[in-house]
Amino acid sequence: MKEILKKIEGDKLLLTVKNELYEKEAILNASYKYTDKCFVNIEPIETMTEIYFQSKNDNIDLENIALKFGNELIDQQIRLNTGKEFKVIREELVKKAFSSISK
Amino acid sequence: MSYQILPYRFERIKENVFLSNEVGEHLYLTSDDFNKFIEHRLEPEEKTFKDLKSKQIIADSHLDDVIEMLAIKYRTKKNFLTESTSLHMIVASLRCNSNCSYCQVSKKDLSDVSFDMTKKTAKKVVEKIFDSPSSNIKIEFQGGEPLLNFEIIKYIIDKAEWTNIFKKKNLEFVICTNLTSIDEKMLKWLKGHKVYISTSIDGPKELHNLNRPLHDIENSYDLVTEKIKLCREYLGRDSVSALMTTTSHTINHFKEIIDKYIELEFDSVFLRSLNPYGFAKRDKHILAYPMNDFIENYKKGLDYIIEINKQGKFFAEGYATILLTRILTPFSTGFVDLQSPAGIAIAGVIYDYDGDVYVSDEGRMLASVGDKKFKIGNVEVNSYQEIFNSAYLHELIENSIAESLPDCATCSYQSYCGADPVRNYSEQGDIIGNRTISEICNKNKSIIKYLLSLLQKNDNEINKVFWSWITRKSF
Amino acid sequence: MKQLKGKAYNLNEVIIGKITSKNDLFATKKDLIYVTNNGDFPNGYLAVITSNKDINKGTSRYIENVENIFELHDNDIVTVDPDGKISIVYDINSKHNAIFITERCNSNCIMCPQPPVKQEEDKLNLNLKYISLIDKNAKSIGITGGEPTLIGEKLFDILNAIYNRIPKASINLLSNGIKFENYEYAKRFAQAVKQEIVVDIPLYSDIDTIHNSIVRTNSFYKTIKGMYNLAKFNIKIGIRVVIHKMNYDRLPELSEFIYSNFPFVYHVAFMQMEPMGYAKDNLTDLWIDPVDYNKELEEAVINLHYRDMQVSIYNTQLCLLPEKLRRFAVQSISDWKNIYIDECNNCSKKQECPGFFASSKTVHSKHIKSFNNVENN
Repeated sequence: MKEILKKIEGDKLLLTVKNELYEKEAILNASYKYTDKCFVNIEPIETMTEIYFQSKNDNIDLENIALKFGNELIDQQIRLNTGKEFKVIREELVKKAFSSISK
Repeated sequence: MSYQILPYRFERIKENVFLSNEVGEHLYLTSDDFNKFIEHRLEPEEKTFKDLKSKQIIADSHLDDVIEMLAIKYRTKKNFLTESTSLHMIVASLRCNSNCSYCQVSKKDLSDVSFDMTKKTAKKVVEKIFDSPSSNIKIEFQGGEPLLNFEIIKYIIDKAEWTNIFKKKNLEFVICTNLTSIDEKMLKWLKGHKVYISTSIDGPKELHNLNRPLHDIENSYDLVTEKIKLCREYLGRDSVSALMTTTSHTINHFKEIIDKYIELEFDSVFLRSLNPYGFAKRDKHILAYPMNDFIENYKKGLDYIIEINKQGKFFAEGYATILLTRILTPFSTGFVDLQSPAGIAIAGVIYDYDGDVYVSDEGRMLASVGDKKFKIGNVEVNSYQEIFNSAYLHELIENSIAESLPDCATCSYQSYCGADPVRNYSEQGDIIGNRTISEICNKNKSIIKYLLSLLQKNDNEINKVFWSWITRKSF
Repeated sequence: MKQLKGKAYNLNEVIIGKITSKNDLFATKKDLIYVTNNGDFPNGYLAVITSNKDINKGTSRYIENVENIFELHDNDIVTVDPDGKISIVYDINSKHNAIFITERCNSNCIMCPQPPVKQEEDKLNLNLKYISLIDKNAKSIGITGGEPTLIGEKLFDILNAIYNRIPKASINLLSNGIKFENYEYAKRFAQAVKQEIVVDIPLYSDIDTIHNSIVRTNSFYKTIKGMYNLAKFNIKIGIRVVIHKMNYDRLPELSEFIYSNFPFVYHVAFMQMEPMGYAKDNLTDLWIDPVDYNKELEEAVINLHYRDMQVSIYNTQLCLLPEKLRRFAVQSISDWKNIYIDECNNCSKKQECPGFFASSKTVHSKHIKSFNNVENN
């Protein structure tokens, strides 16, 4: 897990992510998924981004979240990458769908 | 291999990946094939390549033609938009003779007739209804107990039918009633018009009476079942449908409830969870249950119903039928509570007894406890345009498009689901809502995933049952 | 179609006429062809067909020395070539009569049982004459080819003629749908249709490259566009799928593709291949024992059946089908080329079974087995 540095202290988790690997939006979208279990804080610092998680209650397994977050980040980045590829197509198809059907 | 990736959404399910395209057509890939797919490493001879092409998630030529096909399907799926407002709910009276534990509408006492809709208001309501460009109009009488103001029901039906001679729309009426006050005189009148009855049966006698006693009698069950028979005599066997509401008292009894529905000769049930409005919200600590409990029991109830069908009896579950229609067919489903954009005002709307107009029944329920956030006008004060085309309504709708809501935007079940801004506001305080703590997201996603898992079994018997619900035909 | 041969006299061009064996003094004889086997030769008919020889009748048109003359029935319509070939183009006892618009085609299907020609004489007048002779009680008529839309606007003349002659009949037009890609043409076509019609269009795969390699033209999306255009005008559309080695494996995927993209389709037919013409030439690429694709066929048929679409299985012997599929089997082979083989002699289901194409006599499944009164499948 060299791409993501991890530090856990009590009810707090700090993950550090390289910006060259993951876009801001991917980090945001992945972090969003844990806002039910944790309070989340995102801090960009030069070439890295720090994400702070603080458990909302005692039953939260921060180790598990650290693991899952890595996978979630990858999936969110995939969505962004492939999303760029088809963004124009999606807009075109919706536009076509609602264009005048007078014919 | 060069191919174009077309709009899709995905979710990992154990070792596989579930993908859906822009119109909800879906397939499963192995993790490896998914990686090959996104890295453009799939080759044309591979089955996965062909399968993705078939579902229009990739294209290697004729891109314009493929987009055209997707556009046609997309238009079909969103057909409810071109229909405009077709469900018009009218609160004939907020008075009620029932004393349901979970009353969501903050009903008023029997004696307080100031909560009846007046003819003056009703006239304006009918005018607004026929201003809708929709070619299908369904007028649904709600309350309180609408039958307590039967005069206004007659007035509205007459007026609507008269107006429709010129407007020539497909006109239908439904009365949502506890049925306890219906009599032969009313039925004789209703017989001459196209009226359906929707009532509530929460389960076998003890359970039903626990949830839905009347003011003066605890045993509403005997009365309701008697009246159902009477309705069927006058209006026909299929004129009455029923739905149920789940409380903590009934959540572990779905099997008995389903059995009772079959005994009462209904051919479907809608297993509904409790909506947190009115008394249901106030008495949450007594009536409510964790959503996960509902989901578990729903799955068991669904399994039980599938078994019943496998034994040869046609009996459908209402919610599953809607979701399955979205998953398996290219067609649009008119279910205003779960669509994108949300059906607020643009698919369904409600006119309160005093002429106030709300974007949905739930919006009205919030108003009855003091929060008028979802009021969009009043029939006596505002024009059709002011009510249905206001900047405020536009803003509400813009924020209820799942395609652009956080998490919904990338959810692979988006085509089957929808947005519920009123529920988000009621539960979380804002119309957009946070999906991770949203109870309805949890419920819908869980049920959708369960249905998909049943479909993935490729069990011919299960498929047969599901299709019989969708097409309303036994095979 | 059924053909007979004789020696023709005084015939300079193809003629078309209706068969009669009764010398009715009051009939309009100029469109009638009189058939006899006892040497009589009444005057005034378009031609006379006789089984006798050495008639020597001067300048009248006649065809002599015709064998199997009993195959000609009253009210059949026949064409006669100058070389004495008599073709029964309308069989009064058949449910499968069709107007052959042209032998040209803009597809080049690898399994085409009737390979197209590049050039031919104009058939329009002959066909219009044919239509004027069709039995007035005809309940249905087919329009086929080659590709009927290749005659362009003249197809509308054909439709009008049919409407004038048999307005209550239902028309079954076979077309690859390509020409209907042109919106205007589809619109004019729809306007020319004044009676019940189904346009049956072949679609062989859910994948464009596979379909195109079967029809050997780049027409997948054109055919689809044609279908959409016809649907816009509420023309009933049927889809036909001929099954062979190149497409059997994706039949289930095709059935889902059809439902998702063309839910308006009226009917889907899965057809056993006729091993004639190009199909025979390409047999090694195409042949698969029908029993070997039963799994895919069953899934495809049941898929569509559950989705409340009409499905049929054409040209398939009942003993080859699993029991739950037999109800979809239709007796679809034109009478004049419908045969049974020796194995069928004592089969209890022979009457309901579609049987075989004449060309399948030597090319058919290894698993043909007659039903005895005890079920064997």
